[in-house]
Amino acid sequence: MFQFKLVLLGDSSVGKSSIVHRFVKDSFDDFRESTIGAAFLSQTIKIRDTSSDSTEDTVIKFEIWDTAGQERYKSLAPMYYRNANAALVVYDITQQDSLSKAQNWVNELKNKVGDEDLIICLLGNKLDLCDSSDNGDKRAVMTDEAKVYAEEQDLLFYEVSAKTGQGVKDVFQSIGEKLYQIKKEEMLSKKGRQAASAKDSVNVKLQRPSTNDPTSCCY
Amino acid sequence: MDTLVGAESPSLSSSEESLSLHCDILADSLFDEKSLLNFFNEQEQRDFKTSVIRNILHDRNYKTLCTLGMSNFGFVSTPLRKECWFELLSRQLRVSQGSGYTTNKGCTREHRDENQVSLDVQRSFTSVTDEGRKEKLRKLLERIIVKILRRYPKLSYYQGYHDVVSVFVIVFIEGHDYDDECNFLSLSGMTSKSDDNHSNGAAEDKSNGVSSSTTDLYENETTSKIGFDEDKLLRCVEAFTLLYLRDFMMDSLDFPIDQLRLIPEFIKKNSKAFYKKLNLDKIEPFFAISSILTVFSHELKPSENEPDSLIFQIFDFVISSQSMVVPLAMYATLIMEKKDTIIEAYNANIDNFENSVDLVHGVIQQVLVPTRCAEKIWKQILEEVRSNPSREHISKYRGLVNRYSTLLTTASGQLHTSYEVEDVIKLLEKEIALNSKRKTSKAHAKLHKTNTMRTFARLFSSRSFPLICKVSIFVGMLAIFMKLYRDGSIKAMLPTLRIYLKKYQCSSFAGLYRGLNYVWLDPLHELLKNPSLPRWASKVSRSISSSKDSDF
Ligand SMILES: Nc1nc2c(ncn2[C@@H]2O[C@H](COP(=O)(O)OP(=O)(O)OP(=O)(O)O)[C@@H](O)[C@H]2O)c(=O)[nH]1
Ligand SMILES: [Mg+2]
Repeated sequence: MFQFKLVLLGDSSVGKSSIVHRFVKDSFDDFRESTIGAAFLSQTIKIRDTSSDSTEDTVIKFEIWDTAGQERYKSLAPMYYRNANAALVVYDITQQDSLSKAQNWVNELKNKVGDEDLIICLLGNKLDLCDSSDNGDKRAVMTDEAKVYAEEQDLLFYEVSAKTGQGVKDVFQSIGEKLYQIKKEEMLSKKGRQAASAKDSVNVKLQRPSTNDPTSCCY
Repeated sequence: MDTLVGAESPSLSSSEESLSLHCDILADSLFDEKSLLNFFNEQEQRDFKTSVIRNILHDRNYKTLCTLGMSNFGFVSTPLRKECWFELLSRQLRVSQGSGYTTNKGCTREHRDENQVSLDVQRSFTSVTDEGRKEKLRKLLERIIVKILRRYPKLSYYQGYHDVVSVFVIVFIEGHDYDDECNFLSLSGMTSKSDDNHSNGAAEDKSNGVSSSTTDLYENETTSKIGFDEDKLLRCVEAFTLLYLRDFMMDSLDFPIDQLRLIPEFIKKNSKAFYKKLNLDKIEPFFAISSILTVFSHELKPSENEPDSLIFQIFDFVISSQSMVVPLAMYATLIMEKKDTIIEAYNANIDNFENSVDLVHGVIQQVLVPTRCAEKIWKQILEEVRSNPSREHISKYRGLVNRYSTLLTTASGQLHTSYEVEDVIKLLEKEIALNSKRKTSKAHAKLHKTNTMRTFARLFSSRSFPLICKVSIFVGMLAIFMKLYRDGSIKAMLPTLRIYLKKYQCSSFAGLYRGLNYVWLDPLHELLKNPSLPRWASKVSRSISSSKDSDF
């Protein structure tokens, strides 16, 4: 089993905790509590490995850090995005300025996290408030605006609703698949290297597998 | 300080007088864990304590009231608790009439954080099931917070403050429900239709901007005061905010983080091995932040008609002991109580996390979340803290928090002290100034990474920086110059200096300036060990290293 670290960032009340809750518990209570500091949750998903012949699913585990959105808690964020494999940067599509806050987060991540492999996903939440054709669309951020930005910055991009659940699972699923892909390539290249070095040298060192799998590690 | 005691109430009958005299003597030991009273059943003990408290309140015997608040059952019931909190807090923070901080003044300008307040209020009282009631509680909560912020615009609101205030709201509102009530509270289905619609409309507006709902709040102000005593509630929240929560209400997290650092110190004192195991010497104790910022009210939600709820007893204790060290000590106790589970989870997860910071934070969160509602463990912790109330004396940790901190001044655990609001405002202003100084110097350190002169200037100007360090840096520089003078070459010195500068810069990044005190003393030590130095210098070095040991 692989484990990946995932962090949620974004302005207060955009729905970070609601998204995590939807993903972990598949529920939505209308009144979530505000997050103070950060909250930690974990959840596993199954990934179907299409490239290999085995039909068995791989289980991966997300270690999720849901942070508080108020400006003052920002100084804690580096601790949570450090070593993260993926960051979900959330904005509220009914609040224009929440997108610019999200963009600040994207900039910070790009500047502070050296990891090329960090997956950043821009998430517009509260889609349910925009579909209603009858009593007024509350949308304040156009899909294209965010999409263009996401393409420019090379981010994943989705619009979701934690309330209805629309899109939430897919986000985590596709992030999981991407991360799994990266991990597999990494392992393959490592194996290749190991095999190569085994040929030229008699002194083969046993390498600790790079997975985080507790069952395969002896300690 | 004791002028209140027995000064008034000349009309007391003699029997009442003698009872209160006895109360005074008995209160010290009567309600502790090993008291004789344990032969009676719990209800009898409660009834007895209730009547004792009534008498004490009547006499306004402040000291005894504090003792009672710290013993078993706290202030026993909500009606009593309300009176006791008011009695204590209004003593601790004195607001003289006409001082400019009296009740109806200063609520004019909108505070910069009101939008955040509204976002959090909309997510408060989640456990209240009656929708109408919930709406009422929320409105009251918002109104109180906004009033405090407008009255003291220098305070910055933080997410979590609303949790603390909601404890006071619940205590003061209970019982003011369906009986003698006014506009504000009678809503739950009993008011006219139009009034109800009006309030719902206001609630919906909030998400778009507060202005409409806040004006609405103030229109209601006059009418809502009848009956339930909002002024008393406001006075309590005001005192608690200024005396106990001041450190948290700067515009950054620096001072709260300073406070959190006491927790590992307490743990270390208890069990050094456990402290080492959790790497608490290297890891910042951010995992405790929500518990401390909310005095546990984020974890233990208050609810009506549960006077024994532990959150109330925790507040009883904190207010009676006038101490914000208590929550920190309680958190450390909580960790110690859960030690075995934590170690187990730590070992089980050691390969699941990539680094020890995540590991420790994740494990502690996972272990402590189930304890949120576990009555038993909180009872134990309260008992523990009750039996060793002044165990953790702050003076030892003086260097860890800023000198105007609540921990060293208004909520230091020193009993029976009281403050004029003006003096507390002065403390607040000094603390804010110190906080922004720290912020700018941090920003400078980041901007001018190579500008050492500034760093030196900062160290010497920073008031929180202990004198001993200033002296030692000075001596150190002197030693450097002397060495340079003798060797005639600066080159040999550069590598070591660079290392220490780097170390220092790293440590000041992201608030991790914990290592700072040590860093500067180290090079000095090395330099002064040099035998070629004159005798007086090595003497100084010895005296410095000994004072270093005692100081840190
Ligand atoms: N209509 C709608 N409301 C939502 C949705 N997601 C969240 N909300 C509401 O938005 C508010 C904020 O949600 P939270 O999940 O607490 O927001 P957060 O980002 O965790 O906020 P902080 O903890 O303050 O940083 C709550 O009142 C939710 O009920 C959604 O998809 N649709
Ligand atoms: Mg949240």
